[in-house]
Amino acid sequence: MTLQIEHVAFDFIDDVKRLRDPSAILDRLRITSASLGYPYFILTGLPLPNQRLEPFVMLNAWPEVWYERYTAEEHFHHDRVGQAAMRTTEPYRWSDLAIGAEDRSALRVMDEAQSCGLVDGFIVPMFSSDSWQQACAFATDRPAQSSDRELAALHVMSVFAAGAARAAFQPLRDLPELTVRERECLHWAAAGKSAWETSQILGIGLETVRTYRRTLRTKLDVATMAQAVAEGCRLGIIAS
Amino acid sequence: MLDVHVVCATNRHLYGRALDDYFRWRYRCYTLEKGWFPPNELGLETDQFDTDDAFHLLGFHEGSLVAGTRLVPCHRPTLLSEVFPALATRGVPGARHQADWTRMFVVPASRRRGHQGVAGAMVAALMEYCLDEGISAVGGVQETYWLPRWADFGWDVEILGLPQTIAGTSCVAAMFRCAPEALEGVRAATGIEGMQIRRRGPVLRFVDADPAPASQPRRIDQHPVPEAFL
Repeated sequence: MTLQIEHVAFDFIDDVKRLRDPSAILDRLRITSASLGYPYFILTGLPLPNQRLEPFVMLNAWPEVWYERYTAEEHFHHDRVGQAAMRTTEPYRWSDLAIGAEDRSALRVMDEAQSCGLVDGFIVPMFSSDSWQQACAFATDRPAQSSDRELAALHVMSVFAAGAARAAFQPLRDLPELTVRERECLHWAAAGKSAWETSQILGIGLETVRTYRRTLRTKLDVATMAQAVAEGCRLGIIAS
Repeated sequence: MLDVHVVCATNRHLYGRALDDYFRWRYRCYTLEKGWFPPNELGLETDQFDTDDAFHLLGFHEGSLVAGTRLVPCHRPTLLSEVFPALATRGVPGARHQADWTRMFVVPASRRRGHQGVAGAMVAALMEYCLDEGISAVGGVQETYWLPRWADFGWDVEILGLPQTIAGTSCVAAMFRCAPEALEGVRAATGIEGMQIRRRGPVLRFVDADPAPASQPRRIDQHPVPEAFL
C-alpha cells in the first residue's frame, strides 16, 4: 500500500509538470485527491486582514455553494482552520486544532462548512514570493482517516500542482509587474465596480484607487479600464 | 550582488577568520535558532561532512559575511546518504557530478522576504557555481515548505521520495537539475545579473576534486580578499 501511494504521487508529479492549462491541473489534482479521500480543495494565496480572498485563488475545487458563501461573507478572516495557515509552515489536519466554545464566529464558519458537506480536512502551507504565503486546503465530506503516507502524498502533490499552476499563469510574470493593489483594482473593475465602489470595498481613498487604475492602464498599455479588463483576461491576470 | 568565495581544502588557509565566522553563524542559525544540535562551548557548528571533500560558499556583502552554504560531491558520504537515506526511496544520488547541498544560511540582519534579497543572490551564486563546475544536479535534504521557491525560479525539481517529518519539520529529498535555464530563471527572479563566484588561491575543481593538484591549472580570478578575512 505504501508503495502504491508513492506511485500515485510520483505519477501525479510527472503528469502535472507537463500540464500548462489551469483547468487540466485542477482536474488532475481533483481526481487524485479524491482517490485519497479528499474530493474538495482550494489552492490560494492567503489574504492579509484588509484583503479579499478571491484575487489570490489559483485552483478552486470547493463545492460551489461553499466557495460562494465563503468569499461573499469573507469567512477567511474568521476561519480558525484557514487562519492557522498564516502562522505555520507545517501541514496540519483540522482535528489538530482545538477551537473553544467561546470562539463563536470560528464555530459558525465550521458549522456552515459542515452544512455544505465539508466535515474534515488537511491544510498544506507553502512558501510564496508574492503573498504572505499560500496554502492548499483539502477537505472531505466524511471524517478523514488518512495515513501519514497518504497525507505526505497529498502534501507534495499540492506543492507540484501549485508550481504548475503558477507556470500556467506565466504571462503574469512576463508582464510589467502589477502590485497587489493594482491587481485588486483590476479584479474589481472586472467585476463591474467603479473607482468609488472599489475604494469602498478596499477601504482606501478614491484618489488612491484612481492612481492605481491609471498606473494599471499605463502598465497594460491601454487607454480605458474596459480595455484593461480585456487585456487582463487575455493575459490570464483575471480568471475568466 | 554578493561576492561569493569558494573555500575548499586547498585554499582555506586564506580564509582563517572568515571561516571561523562562517562556522559561528552556522552555530547561531542551526544550533541556536533551529535547535538541531546541542550547544557547545566553542560556539561553532561543524559536523562529520565538514571534511576535505566539502566546498563552502561564503557570501560577502561589502566585506562582511552575510550568507553561507556547503556542497559535498555525492560519491562521498553526504547527509542524505549517511543520515537520511530513508528519505530517498527512489535512490540516493551517488555520482561525483552531483552535489549534496546543505547548511544554507543568511545572517539574521540580512534576511528579508521575497526573492530579491541575500538568500536569492546566494542561490543564484550556487547555480552559477554548479554550471561552472559541470555539476549536473544539486540538492539533498530540503524543507518541503520551500519547494515553491525553486518552482518560481523555473528549476526542474525531482523529488526522491515522499516527505517525512524530521524534528517537527517536513523534509523531502530533492535534486535540482543544473542547466543554463536554471541560472537564467534564478537571475530573473532575484534581479542578479552578473557573476558572483570568486576563486582565490589554489581552488579544487568540484567534479575532480582529488587531493592531488589538477594537471590543468585552474584559472584563478584575482579578486582581493576583503580585509576582514585576514
